[in-house]
Amino acid sequence: MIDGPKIITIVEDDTIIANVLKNKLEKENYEVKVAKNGESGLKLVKEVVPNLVVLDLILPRMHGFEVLKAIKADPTISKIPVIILTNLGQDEDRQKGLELGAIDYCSKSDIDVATLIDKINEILGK
Amino acid sequence: MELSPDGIVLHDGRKTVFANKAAMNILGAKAQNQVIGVPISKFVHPKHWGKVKERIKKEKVGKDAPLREEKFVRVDGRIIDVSVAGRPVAIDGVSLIQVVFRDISEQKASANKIKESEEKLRTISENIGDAIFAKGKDRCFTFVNPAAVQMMGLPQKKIIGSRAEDVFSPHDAAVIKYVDDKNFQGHQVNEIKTLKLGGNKRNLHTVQSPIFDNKHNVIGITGVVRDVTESKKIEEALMNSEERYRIITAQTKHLIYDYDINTGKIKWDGAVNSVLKHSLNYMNSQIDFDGWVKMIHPDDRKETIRLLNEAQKKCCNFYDQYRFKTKGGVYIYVEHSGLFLPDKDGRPYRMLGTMSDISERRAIDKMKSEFVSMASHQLLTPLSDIKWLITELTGLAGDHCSTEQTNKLNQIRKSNTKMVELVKDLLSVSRIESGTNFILEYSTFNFSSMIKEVLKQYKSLISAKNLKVRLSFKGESCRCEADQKKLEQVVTNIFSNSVKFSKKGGQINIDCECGIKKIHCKVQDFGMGIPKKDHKKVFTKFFRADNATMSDTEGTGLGLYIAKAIVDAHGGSIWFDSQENKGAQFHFTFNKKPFK
Repeated sequence: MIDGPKIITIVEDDTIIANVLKNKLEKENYEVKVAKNGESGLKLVKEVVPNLVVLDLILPRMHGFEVLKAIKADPTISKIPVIILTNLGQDEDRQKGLELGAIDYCSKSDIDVATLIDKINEILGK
Repeated sequence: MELSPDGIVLHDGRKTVFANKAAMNILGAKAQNQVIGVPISKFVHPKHWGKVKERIKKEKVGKDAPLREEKFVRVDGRIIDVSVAGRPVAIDGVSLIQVVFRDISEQKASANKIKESEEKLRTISENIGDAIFAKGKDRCFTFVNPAAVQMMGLPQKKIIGSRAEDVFSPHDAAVIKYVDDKNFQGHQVNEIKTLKLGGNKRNLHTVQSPIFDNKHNVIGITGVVRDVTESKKIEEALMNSEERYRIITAQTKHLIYDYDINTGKIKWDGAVNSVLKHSLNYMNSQIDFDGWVKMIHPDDRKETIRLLNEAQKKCCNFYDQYRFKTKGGVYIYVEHSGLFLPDKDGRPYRMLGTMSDISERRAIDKMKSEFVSMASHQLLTPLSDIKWLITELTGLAGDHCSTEQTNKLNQIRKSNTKMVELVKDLLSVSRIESGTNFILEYSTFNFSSMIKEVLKQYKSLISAKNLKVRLSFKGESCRCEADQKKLEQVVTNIFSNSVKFSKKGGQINIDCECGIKKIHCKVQDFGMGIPKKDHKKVFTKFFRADNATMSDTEGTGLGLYIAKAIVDAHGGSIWFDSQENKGAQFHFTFNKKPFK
């Protein structure tokens, strides 16, 4: 079976961030699916079973941590690496995110898009 | 002779030949033969016998012996004092000696007593602290004891025979005259009078009485004066402090308590009713130490008691904020500060202090923190968007950008970074304020590499101001296990100030001493320094020294406040030394291993 493009799901209600990231990832030949709230995000992940999830925390309908918990609790999708991308930069948020099983925790205001792409490439072995 | 109250004895110079009834009584004889025929030497005190013999010799040759006092020995051996006279008599041609005597033992004893008590009085009057004096009808002093002499501050010779107006100031003499007049009108005086003896105002408790003759005419005055200046002062001070305490407890919004450690009893006072809704009576009768403990919120109790025990052990100040139950079961936040008092052995026996309701203040603080936190998060969202958009824009423009366009984009990026940093600082402050400790993310890194990294970030600024930076490391290895990101913030916050406040072409020295357990870092500049009056405020939030705000409007005054919180979390300390216009030296230390 020939490998198609790797799929990345972005769960993000901030369209600016979502669009910038989507554009960049598509340039890297990823297939990108975007959900704008927590609930639809979880549904999308279950449907698509992507190779990686980029997850915001402050989301309508369902908090990012709840989405993350649900992903890690479902064996069919629990292995998918999740990168948290958020404006919540506090120590305990970071700690909690990593404890819940996120592979990385990035602050939107700190990280460069290029650095984030590098991280994703590394995780996906590209 | 038989009926005479005086004892009469006849003797022949050797033996008694007659004794009347009184003599028998005085000598304690029950039968005649106990006296008659008995040698007279038996009845004379051995010590007096020599003299008595001489007297008898004289009497024998017909001379009267004058009345004298002698000691006789009674039949029962008791010695008595007698006054005695003897003279020769001839009875039926026999020459005898008649001795008349009277028992004066009691009289002598009471005379001795009077003498003794006079002596005692004299001793008292001479040694007593109270002044004792007497004045005659002419108002002249007739007697002053040593205390009176001392009180008047004049020699005794000068006082005796003088009137008050001769020896005292007109003011004092007038006061004395007023008191004496009352005495001469027949009244006693018992008052506190103020005299300006020797220029010092003294309060004198004066008890003065008239001396009457048997026709009830006043013939003099006698008085006792006590200097109560000191005790009056103490009394006044006590009254003042009592009064003050009463006013304070009535007006205060605090609870005031006095806790007796040995009995566990607490005396409550102050705003008990308005704060706790309990009556003062209820608190004082029901709430002892154990009662107080039960009123603390169960979640806060353990920590509060721990702090209290610690303070009690050291016998020092206690301070805590905790939730406290009021009458309706509603918990309020109280701020409690107290002081343990040591007994003479240095052990705490008592605690005094206040408790006040700070619920409102806590609520406002919480709202403020939450507001800052919320606003900061809301600000971060668009700031992150801008940051990401700049990157996108730079990428889109690619090589088509002119130099000017690239510069403008860079300026936007810098402004964006500054705003992000400011918002993050505000977030840190709101967290420090709300009492949430930093969670340190420990990693192992080299402190020297970290500093070099910070310097790299400032390269363009350093060269723009033409600054010379010297960096030195001494001692052990600089490897440490700490929160790298946060310590980097400390170095950045201190170093950026040095860069900002150095003059062009100035020097900055960074010296690090790596010990086995701690690293000590010193950042020294020779810039504008901090004015002395601002030294106390350097580590407070939003602090900016006056000279800094004059020359530069940038900066939030949060950098050193945050740096201190980070250093504290690492179990280190931060301090500085600075003189205006001469520069500043900032020091900080931190543990190389995680601090528990």
